[in-house]
Amino acid sequence: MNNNIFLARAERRITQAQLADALGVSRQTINALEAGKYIPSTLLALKMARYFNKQVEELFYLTEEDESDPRAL
Amino acid sequence: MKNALLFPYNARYWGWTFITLSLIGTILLMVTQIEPTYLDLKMPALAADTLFSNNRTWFRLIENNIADELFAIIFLLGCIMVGFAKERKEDEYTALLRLQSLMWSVYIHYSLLILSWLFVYELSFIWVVLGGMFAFWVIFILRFRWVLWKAKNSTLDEQ
Repeated sequence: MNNNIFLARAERRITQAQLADALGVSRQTINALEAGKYIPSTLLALKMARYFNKQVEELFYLTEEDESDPRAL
Repeated sequence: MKNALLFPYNARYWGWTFITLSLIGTILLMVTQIEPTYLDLKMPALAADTLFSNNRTWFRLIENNIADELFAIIFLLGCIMVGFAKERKEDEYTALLRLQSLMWSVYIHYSLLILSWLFVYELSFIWVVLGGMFAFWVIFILRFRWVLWKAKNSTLDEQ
């Protein structure tokens, strides 16, 4: 799974720390998320979508690898 | 993220104090070989076999200096408090790093144990048993602190 968090954050002109504070998570979480090292829980994904006023699918999307291999985690 | 099984953030300070005190105590005990007499107690032993004896005895009172037992317990309590204290900003990513570190520790600890079973024999194995009791926590804490430190100092940052 990949995400557009970096772009959404850039649109809003906010830092990772500001986004982390707004969502009640650590800056490391946002950093790991943007780097593709971490897939968030549904709860956090929904919170992010609400914060950016976007659909979850606009922020998170499946890669070709995810779609071709249903067992991929 | 709420996890009722974690200790409050400040528990880590108590934990590190316990670890430090127990390490100092153990080193002093090993170097001086002096055990405080006020810790000579009659302890209820579920099992207490003596070396090279075939007489297995269960449930009896034995005379024992509990200094080393006390330090071991304090050390383990310290490790649990340090390992399972909440981070300043506890969230789901921290929980993942903690879980991964626990798994790492299980893999490393039991790999070492299997190797020890194969390559350490007779009385030397006592050291394996002694070390094994604490190795799990030491590996877990070291790995967890390392990945947290790495995450906090990650170079990929905001632009």
